[in-house]
Formats: sequence, C-alpha cells, structure tokens
Amino acid sequence: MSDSGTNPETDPSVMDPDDAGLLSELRLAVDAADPVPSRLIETARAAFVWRTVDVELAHLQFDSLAGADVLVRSDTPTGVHLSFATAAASIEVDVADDTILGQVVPAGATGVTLLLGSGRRVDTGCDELGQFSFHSRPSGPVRLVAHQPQGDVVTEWFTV
Amino acid sequence: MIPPRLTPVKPDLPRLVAAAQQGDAEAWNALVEQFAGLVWHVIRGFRLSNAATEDVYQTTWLRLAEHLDRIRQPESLGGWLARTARNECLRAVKLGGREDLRDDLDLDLVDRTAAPVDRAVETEAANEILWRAFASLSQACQQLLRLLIAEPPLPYDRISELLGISIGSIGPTRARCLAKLRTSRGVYLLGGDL
Repeated sequence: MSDSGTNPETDPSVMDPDDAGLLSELRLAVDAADPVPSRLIETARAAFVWRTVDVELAHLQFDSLAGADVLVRSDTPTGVHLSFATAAASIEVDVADDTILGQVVPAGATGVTLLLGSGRRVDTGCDELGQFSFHSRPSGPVRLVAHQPQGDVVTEWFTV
Repeated sequence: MIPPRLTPVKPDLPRLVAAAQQGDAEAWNALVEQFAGLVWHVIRGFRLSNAATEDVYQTTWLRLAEHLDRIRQPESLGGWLARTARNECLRAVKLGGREDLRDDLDLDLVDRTAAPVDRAVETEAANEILWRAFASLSQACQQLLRLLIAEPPLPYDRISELLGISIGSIGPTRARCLAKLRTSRGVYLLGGDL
C-alpha cells in the first residue's frame, strides 16, 4: 500500500485531536489503576543473574503449544512436547500430567538439572540412552541443563 | 498539531544495551525500568490468571537476559520484548486449564501503593471511571489501545505485526474503540451500569 502514508483514512499517525486527548487521558487512567506491580519489576531485575555467558544455549526448535491456532483452547490440557538443540546436541522434553520425561542426544550425558526461576534446582541422572525424568510439574519458568562430557548445554526458558 | 508518534529512541538505549551485554547490572535495571510498562501492557491485554501473568512477565525478561548478546539493533528492543511477551501469552492461553489450579493463591497483583497519595480527588474519580469504561471494552480494543498508550511507543508497523491487522486498519479501529470508550465513560459518568 504505497499511498497509506498520506491517506488520512489509513495512516495511523493522523489522529483526531479529541481522540489524541482521550488516548492521553487513558494512559494516565490505566497507569494509575493498573500499574506494574513492584514485585514483578523485582523479578525482571533478578532475571539478569540468570544470564549465561559461558554455557552453550540450546534453542527452542519445536513447541507443541506454538503455532497459529491461537483460538484453540484446550480445556483438558494434554502433554506438551518441546525440542531444543545446539549444533551438536538436542534435548527432547515431554511433559504430561506431573512428569517431565526427556532425552539428551547424543547419549553420554551424566545427568540433567532442572532450574527454576525461583533459584531452586533439582538434579537427576541419565540412563545409557540419555533418557531422564522428573516427577513433578513445576510452576513458573524453568530451564534444563544437560551435563555432557563435552560441557554443559542449557535450554532456553520455558513454562509447562 | 499532534506530535509524531515515532519518537526517537532514547539516546542512551544503545549504550545501556551494550553495558548490560558486558554484565552491568545497573544498565540492566535501567532497561527494565524503561520497558517494564510496555511488557505489562502487552500481557494485560490478555485475560490470564494472576499466576500465568506473573509467569509470562518473568519468562519475557529471562528470555531477554539469555538473548541479550544477540540484540544487534537496540532500537528494536521494545518490539522484541512485545513479541516475546505476546507469544508467551498465546502459549499460556493454550496451556489453559491448569492456570486455574493456582488461582486460589490470592495474589494481589495490583500495587495500590504506587499511586501518588496527593492526587486530586476529582482526577482520581475521573481516572477510575475511565478505567472502568476501558475494562468494559472488547479484548481486541483493549489490546490495541494498550499497545497505543505503551511507553516507549511501539512503531505502527510493529503494532500491526503483533495484532495481525494491517497498518491501514489501525486508525479506523482505534477511532471505533475510542468512540466506544467515550460512550461507556458517558454511561458511567451518569451513574449508569453497562
């Protein structure tokens, strides 16, 4: 739409002065009635300590909850499947009910740590196929650290 | 004359991002301060439980912390945060059912103490009425208006991308939502109920 920049009907930067005034009033009213809770600002500040500098980050490759079908709301949430990968390794995660099952590929990882945004950590071992499990479904954001002989790999944060 | 919406990026944004990348916690806190409200507006456009709202807010900032080193264009940081928060909201909606389990934690998210105590009573009452009128709008209107009042402002092309609507329809939709807001406010001012 080459003309959208000049057509007042379609250019959003053109606004009725009364509308602009109401929008300014609304900004004040919403900020007063619904401010960011200071507790959440604290969690945002605290997020910085989780910065990883020397551990390899495994990026999210697949998320069964991602996708365009935003209007589909499951009333009986079933499992969530996630897949993370670095150039050399992948971590598959299946969450169902109150269990997290997963696998580190290639096999050889000695164990996996579940890190919670609260700072808590839970460790578990891996079997010879690299499979691991946690028998709890944590609330809030978490990430997994796979302890491999080549070095640790940490996933992006996710919520299940 | 209406001021142009594309306000320039605060000159210190590139410096703050660079400093935070170097591990400067003060710079990170300044970034949080600058964008705390924007992330909040994006999330509050969804009707999530308190627990899910907190999770999404925290996850968004954790994501930024882990992606900080990959931010090449500091001026796009607001858009990046808004998109990340929105994606997490959509995910939280789908995660659905189990949110309710944690709703009984009685988390009082609204921080009443943040309001200045010496605000004129009339302003407070007018704000309260406008807030109630806003809360009565459709979710689509609330989402658009929140993105429009967020500071620092999001560029229109980013708003269009986030909401999946064309840039050309932002103006007319905004006008319609504000007209409804005006009507609702009128009803509440007369002491009526919607």
